[in-house]
Amino acid sequence: MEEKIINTIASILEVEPSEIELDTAVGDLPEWDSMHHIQIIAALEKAYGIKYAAEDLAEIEDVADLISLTQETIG
Amino acid sequence: MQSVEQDIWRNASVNPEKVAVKSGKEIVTYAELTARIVVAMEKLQQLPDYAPGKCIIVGASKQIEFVYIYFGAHLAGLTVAPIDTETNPDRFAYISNTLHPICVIGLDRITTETPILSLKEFKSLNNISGNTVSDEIKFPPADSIADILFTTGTTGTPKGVPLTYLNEAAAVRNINSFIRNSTDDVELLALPVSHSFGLGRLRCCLANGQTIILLGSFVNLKKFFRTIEEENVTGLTMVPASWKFIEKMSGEKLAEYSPQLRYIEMGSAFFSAEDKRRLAELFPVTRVTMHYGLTEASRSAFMEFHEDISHIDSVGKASPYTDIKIYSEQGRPLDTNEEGEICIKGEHVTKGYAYIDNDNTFYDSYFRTGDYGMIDVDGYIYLKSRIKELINVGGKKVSPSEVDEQILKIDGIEDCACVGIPDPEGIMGELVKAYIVKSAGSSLTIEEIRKALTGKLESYKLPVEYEWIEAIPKTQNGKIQRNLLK
Repeated sequence: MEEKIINTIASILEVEPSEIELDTAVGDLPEWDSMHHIQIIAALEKAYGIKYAAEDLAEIEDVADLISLTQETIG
Repeated sequence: MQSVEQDIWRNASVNPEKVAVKSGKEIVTYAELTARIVVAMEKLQQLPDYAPGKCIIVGASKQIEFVYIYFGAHLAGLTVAPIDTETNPDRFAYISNTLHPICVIGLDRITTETPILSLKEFKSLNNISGNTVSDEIKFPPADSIADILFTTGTTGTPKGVPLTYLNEAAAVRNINSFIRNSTDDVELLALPVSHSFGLGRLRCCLANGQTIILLGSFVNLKKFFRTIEEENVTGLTMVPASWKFIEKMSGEKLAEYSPQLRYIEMGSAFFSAEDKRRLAELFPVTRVTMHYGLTEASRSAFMEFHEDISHIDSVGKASPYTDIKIYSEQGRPLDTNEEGEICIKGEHVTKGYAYIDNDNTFYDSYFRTGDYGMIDVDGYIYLKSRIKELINVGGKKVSPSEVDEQILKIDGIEDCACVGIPDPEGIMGELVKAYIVKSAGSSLTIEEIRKALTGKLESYKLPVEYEWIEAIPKTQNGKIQRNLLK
């Protein structure tokens, strides 16, 4: 799952997956702006058939948080 | 009226230890700020072609070095052209060829023959500590040009808007009088600092002697909320798209901070009456303000969502020290409730565009906004329509013809026309859609068009939707009828 999520983020931001680390914070890369963030969330929701809760999304600081939130949301 | 720079110096003398700006780990007092501005000024004065009255182009999103450079350039008598760091090569070339800057700063990805300086070269300024405030500063004359901002013209050609020190000081006075921010306020700025809204906030806060925190973006909401909490933030600035983003990504969490938030300023794009009412409810004790304005006449009208709830559909009343009149197409002032062009007068209004004739810029001494509307008996201004066909993507203006022009450069395309469509996610307000007529026999695909446009335009200008069409609707004179495509 980790690799798939990182690849999704990288392809939306149009950067190499190697540029995305687990501790890469949301917004660290200049490409990672609000518009792209919405696209990342939408793509992951679609890929995993889930819907994140808004209050959980507010707690995402970095890529690792996004991965664990996805795991928790899938249940 | 004193310039913003003079105000900063006064604040530094009165309260040298007060924190002026915070950005990441950097905490800068007013005394340090003035010391660093002076060093930035000296550094800029050493540029090879330096002379007062020349121009520099500067881009930044949240870097504190921008603040030193911006004010340092002013003290050196240079005119600053702040631009988006994402500015596309064509737009940059146009601006650069118009201004002939002596230096380009903070736009490391741009290729140009003009000397380029990275913001990193100003990083060492953060080591300068200053406890005393230099009083040997010569401030630029009030009527000289502080900044030249480039707006998106309807034709796609940017228009240069010169603003004098007086214009900017007057705007600060008008805005601060309406918002009523005090020196004790701590403002969080998550908009880019080199954009006109963000830059305006920087001037307002520093002239007022308060603290401003530069976050640069709303994208990391965890950081955003943590900053509000830890720094005891009392003021916020948002465009409607920022609020929509916050709402989508965190629900009503921001309202938890409502007791500590003294003011919010919104602006730059349409915000529905429903959204305004909702913010008024979520922030019952906050002064929730929204402006109507243009680069040429910054924040010319204001409203406060609680006080003006009975006229929530309007854009508010003329800002303090501002006069707004409605003119007919023949240039005649109209009465209350009569519809015509909104025209603005005040010390904050530009004297006219640079490098073009200004025959059609003013009616009498009132600046023509290009927006249509009326003023009711209570002085509330109602916007009816805009003459300009600009697409508003999250507060950033896009000229459809600029996008058309890039698409038409691609082989296999006969004709095209871009329009604004509502963002299906409800965040950005509008997004760009392209209608395309394929050349006979061409096998071009939408994917190929997308690829060809990459890097040619800023990402917010790129169409999100494409549709093949037989022909673009046009008038007999060949003007595209974009309204028929919506």
